[in-house]
Amino acid sequence: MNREDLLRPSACFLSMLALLLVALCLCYVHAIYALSQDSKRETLRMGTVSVLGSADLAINNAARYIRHVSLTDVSTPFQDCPGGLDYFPGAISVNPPDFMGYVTRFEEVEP
Amino acid sequence: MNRYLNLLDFTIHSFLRRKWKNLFLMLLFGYLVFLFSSVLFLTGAIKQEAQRGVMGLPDVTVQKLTAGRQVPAPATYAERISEIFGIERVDTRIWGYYFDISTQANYTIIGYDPQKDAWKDLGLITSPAEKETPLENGKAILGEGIMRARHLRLGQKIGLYTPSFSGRSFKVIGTFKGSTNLLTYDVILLSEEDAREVLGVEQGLVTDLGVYVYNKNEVTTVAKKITELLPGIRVVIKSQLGRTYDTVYSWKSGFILITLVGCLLAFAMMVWEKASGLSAEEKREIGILKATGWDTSDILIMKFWESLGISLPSFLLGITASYVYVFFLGAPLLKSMITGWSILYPPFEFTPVMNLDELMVLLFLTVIPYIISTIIPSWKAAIIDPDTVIRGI
Amino acid sequence: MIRVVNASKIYNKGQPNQVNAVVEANLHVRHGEMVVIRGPSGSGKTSLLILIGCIARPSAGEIQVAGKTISRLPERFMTLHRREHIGIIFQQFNLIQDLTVEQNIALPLFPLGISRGAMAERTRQLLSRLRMEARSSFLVKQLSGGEQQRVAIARALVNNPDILLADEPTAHLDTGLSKDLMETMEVIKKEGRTIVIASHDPLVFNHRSVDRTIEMKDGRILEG
Repeated sequence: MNREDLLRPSACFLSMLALLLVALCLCYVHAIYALSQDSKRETLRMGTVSVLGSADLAINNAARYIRHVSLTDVSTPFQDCPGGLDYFPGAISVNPPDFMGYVTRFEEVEP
Repeated sequence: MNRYLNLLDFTIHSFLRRKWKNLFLMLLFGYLVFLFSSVLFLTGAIKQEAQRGVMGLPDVTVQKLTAGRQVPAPATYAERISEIFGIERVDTRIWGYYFDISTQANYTIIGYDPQKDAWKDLGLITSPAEKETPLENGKAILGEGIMRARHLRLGQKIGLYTPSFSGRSFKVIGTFKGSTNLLTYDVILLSEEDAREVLGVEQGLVTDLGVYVYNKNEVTTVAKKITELLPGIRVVIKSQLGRTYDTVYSWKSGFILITLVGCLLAFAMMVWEKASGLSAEEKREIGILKATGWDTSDILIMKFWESLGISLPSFLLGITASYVYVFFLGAPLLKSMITGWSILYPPFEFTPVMNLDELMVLLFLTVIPYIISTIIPSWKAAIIDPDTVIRGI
Repeated sequence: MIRVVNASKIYNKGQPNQVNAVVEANLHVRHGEMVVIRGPSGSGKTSLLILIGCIARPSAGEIQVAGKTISRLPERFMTLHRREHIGIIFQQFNLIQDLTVEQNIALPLFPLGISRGAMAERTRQLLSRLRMEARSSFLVKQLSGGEQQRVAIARALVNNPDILLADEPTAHLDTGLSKDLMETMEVIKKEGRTIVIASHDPLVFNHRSVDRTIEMKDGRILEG
């Protein structure tokens, strides 16, 4: 195989395809690796779940029927607080308030 | 091999003749794949997070219902349930929701037995003086979201109202680690007695009970026995919780995918238009190729390369880009659509997950139909006499 | 080399617009001959060439080319036979306008299993022979009529065919270029190839290298 063969359009195309496949495989390997590295967090997660007694994810705490989806009753809007937003479809289109802008450092406080 | 490579060379020459049109097609294709796979990756990651948490839950959760709604259950249920054969232990639980007017957020208050010290294994961030202190009355462990929302530091106090409108303050002795934000962001851990007071759960009552079973294969049987033993209760077994998580995030991703169906339909229309016939120019070219010695299989191979050359790189690029978008860039815009609106919105990262089954389905829904839509009209043109096409000029 | 036995070609058979393009044609072309088929427009010259060139199957009769009865071959084998033995120069050139000169010439070579180097070498030889090296990377649509004609000739010769067919090759050329074309045809003939040209141009059928002229009218080959 000479230089001309390596530079032919089909060789370039197949090389590009191979690169893309490699990139995808790297993503897959990365996913497996990340999962294996997560074992420390796994112990912490299991411990937290057993202390809290709930595995519900705290990503929908605007409404209790969302926050604890697995441990609640029939969902109805406005049952949490007066003027509470109807969860759907507002949840998709309205941004949450930004508390992340506050700089809070968690320091150990001297007694 | 040379034959296929030569035909591929020719296909690429053809591709470059209409390079802007083909590039646009690739971008569109890739973008479509990117959208769909981003939703699938994100949902898969959230579901994985939720499912992994399920492992630490009680095997059976027992709740009391009145008029179809959950109400506090008598604490004596614990003793009665413990008598059932096969039960390892029964935990009574005090927990509930607290609406904070100042931040308009719901907090989850969980009562914890001060005699137990399992919370110390959670690596909480505490002040040195409080490291060994049990979670006694008057003290609280807060989730990071509440610390931020209420601008608190360790050692400061958080004020909560009881149902009788009297105020109670609790010293913040620790906060949960950021890596558990998904579970703890809006949580306040109090002693059981304090939790009762704030939530208004009377003595002798508990919010619900957690039941642990020795033999995990007997969970359903035990759950049935509990239902028969106690009137007016609902039992929720761990596997049901797992399915609930799946359903919650599946319907959300399904909803978003449905809104993307518009894009898919537009793409399908384009593919259909391609499949319904070649242009006069394309037919002429096929006629010329046949007249110069190409046979039907050569033309079909060329067309296969043409469609694969557009669809497969676009597919691979779309998937890779969506992986980077979700797991390295944090899926801005899309994350909030899947996870929803919230006052206390936890910052979190997902553990990457790649479900090959879903990717194969996406491949069969995109690349394969595109290839078929190119091959069929080409085959129809390739089998006619080249003489008919050439004479038409 | 070429034997046409009672061949007919009917287009749109049984329909109101039926055309009897070739009617019971008989023709024998020997190896190395240059034969011109002459006749007015619509006399069936192109249709006869198409039958000889294995591009279409006759409605009746037989065509034998290079020892094979091609009229009975399945499509795939007709294509292979055409690829190996026949080069065709079309009246409208039938070049792909958006490809380069080099790519158009190499068109018949792509489906073959030969190496890229061999393809490039064959193409280079023809470019040199037809004095088109300077134009090799030009798009065909950028060429003049005469240049496109030379590209069409090169493409017809790239597979080293035994038989060269040309349909009205001087239709888009001026007198000077037509003479050039016939000089080229003479050279090709001297290489031992059999040439059949369909033309009503006197410059073609009166050329010294033409061995025989055949008259066609209304799809029939006239005696003489």
